[in-house]
Amino acid sequence: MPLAEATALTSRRTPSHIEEHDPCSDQQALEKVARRCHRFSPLVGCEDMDFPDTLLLDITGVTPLFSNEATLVEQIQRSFKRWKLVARIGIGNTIGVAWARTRHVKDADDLDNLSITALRLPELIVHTLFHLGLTQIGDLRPISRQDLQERFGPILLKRFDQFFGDTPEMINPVLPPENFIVEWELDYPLSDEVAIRGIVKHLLERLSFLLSRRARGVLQLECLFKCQQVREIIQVRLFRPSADAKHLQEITQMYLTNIHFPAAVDRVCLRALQHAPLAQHQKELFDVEPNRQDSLQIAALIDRLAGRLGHHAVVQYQLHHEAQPEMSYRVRPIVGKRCPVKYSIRKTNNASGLGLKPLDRPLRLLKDPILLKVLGTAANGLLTRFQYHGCQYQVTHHWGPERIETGWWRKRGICRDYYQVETERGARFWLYRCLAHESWFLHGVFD
Amino acid sequence: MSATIENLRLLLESSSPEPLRERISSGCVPLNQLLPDQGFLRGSLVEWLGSEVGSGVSSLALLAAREACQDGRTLVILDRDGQFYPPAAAAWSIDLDNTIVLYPQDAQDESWALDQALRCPHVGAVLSWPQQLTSHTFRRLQLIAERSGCIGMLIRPSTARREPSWADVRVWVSPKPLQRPNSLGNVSWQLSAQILRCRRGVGDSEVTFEINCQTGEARETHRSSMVTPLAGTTAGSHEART
Repeated sequence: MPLAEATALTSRRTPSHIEEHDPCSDQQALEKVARRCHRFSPLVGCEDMDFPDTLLLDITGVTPLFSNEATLVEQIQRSFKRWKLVARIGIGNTIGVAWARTRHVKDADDLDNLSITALRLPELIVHTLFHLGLTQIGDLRPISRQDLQERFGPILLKRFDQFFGDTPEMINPVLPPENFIVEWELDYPLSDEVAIRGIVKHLLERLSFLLSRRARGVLQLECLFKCQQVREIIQVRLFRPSADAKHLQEITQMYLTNIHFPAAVDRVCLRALQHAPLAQHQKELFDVEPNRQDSLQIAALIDRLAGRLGHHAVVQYQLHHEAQPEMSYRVRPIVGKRCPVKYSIRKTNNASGLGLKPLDRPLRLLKDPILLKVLGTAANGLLTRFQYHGCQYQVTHHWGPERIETGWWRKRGICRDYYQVETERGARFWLYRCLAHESWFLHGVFD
Repeated sequence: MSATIENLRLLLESSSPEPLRERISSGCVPLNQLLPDQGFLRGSLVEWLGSEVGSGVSSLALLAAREACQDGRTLVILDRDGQFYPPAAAAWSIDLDNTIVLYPQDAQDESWALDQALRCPHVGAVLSWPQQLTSHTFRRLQLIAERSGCIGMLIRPSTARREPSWADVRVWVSPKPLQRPNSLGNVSWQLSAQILRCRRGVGDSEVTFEINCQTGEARETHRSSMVTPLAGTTAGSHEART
């Protein structure tokens, strides 16, 4: 359902909350649930799709531990209810059959009679099959495999064979979380900051060793200092996974400069809250190392900047198709993010998508438009003279209006006529007339 | 004493010849023609001074920064006021995926971030709007940029014209009123750029040009042929001038 339609359906009195779809977070949440499911099966994974929403559990040889399959299903459902989640559970001899049983008739024994949608096919192929009158899985049997291959590509036969167990299908496992924790208990509380930093340095070396052994790097590090009754916690976020003790020390020391211990410290604990595999590089015959070194240098720079300025102060922008100028881009912090490679393909991030040309928009946009003191208007209502920051400006040329209106789908819609104006000295401003109040605002400066 | 210092200076100059640095276009052809190297050199600081609000100084600095990042290097923008508008930058063909924007809270953080960004050799250009720069900080930044090969685009208010500068090039930008009214579809913008100082000296000091709103290209409309005194040519003779 489009956002505009959903917003229109919500009651005016009920405040609605809009959140952008984040497939990366969805994947992480599903993996979290998968890890919880290790109590039911030693092999748990997510389905191999672009946007997975199914967990796969290999319960071969497991059911005797739960007495039978029905009890196992009952226990899984109870657990999901406790986690405030709703699950549909299907058991089958193949992944395809189990998947089909979660969405179709659970106890369907005659698999040929199941709908063609049970084959986990792309929507386009399903649509074509329906169009051809092939609505059930069994309808595919009389057609030769060569014809199916030529018409629909390899995916149809692959899914068909996987469904009936003629082709093996593997579960890509979600492994149980590895905890990387190092700590130092002090016999006597310590208040000397230099000594505490020394302990942190030592712990970071140990943590780096643990991470390196597993070829993993920390993305988010928690440093806990127990100051007798009080706990001081700092969280260090990194741009890319790192197990480099020297780099981690450099970044952590920056965070430590901003911390003040209220009492002597008697315990220091470092924990990798988020970690990811370290990038592995094959040695090249020809020298391509400089490129890699460059990206490493940028990563180190970003980590240092985020360490001092804060992770919300180091960002990138993503353009957004939106008429309202202040909402036509999104700010994305770039440290402490873990995103699977398949989601890193970005949307087009250029102005041609927004249909903008140079000088269409000012380079400086005021966060809050400034209400202008109007000193003169023409007969047609256009601004001829205004005051801004104590200076008076005479408008000699103007271009516009460009009407920007956002209305019924948003609670606080706008209706503005934008003008680009040039003053008698040639300075350019971006003004708008608010049509609701007939007042003039300065929104941007062509600086 | 002064003779000893002079000897030391000569010794330093002879022992460390200035390395050949890559030339970067300013992104504005008329301005290139004004500069002795037909553009800026990597590892330099460029100080942009706007005559007034809405003078277009940031746009010209952004164009130059874009050119410095053409080879895939990263652009770093220090936006202390939070007024930088990304769609406008994208309209000037800035690659936002290769741009990092920083929000320093105060002047101290801004100076530190500028220092750090300039140090990174993979950063093509750093765009910043520092209100105040002490001579000591300015000199430090200049040496950092020289070492890393990054270009620092420092956009300063008009009041900074009276302050000492360690920038390799100092450009004064002022808007010029349009002589003829344009139709809606043909908005152009007339600006004037004056080279206040340049490390290698300049022939022409001022050029007036028109920026086409459709293409963003600049076309020269007028050039004055004043010959200005040349600045020193070596790093050692980089004394702050006003």
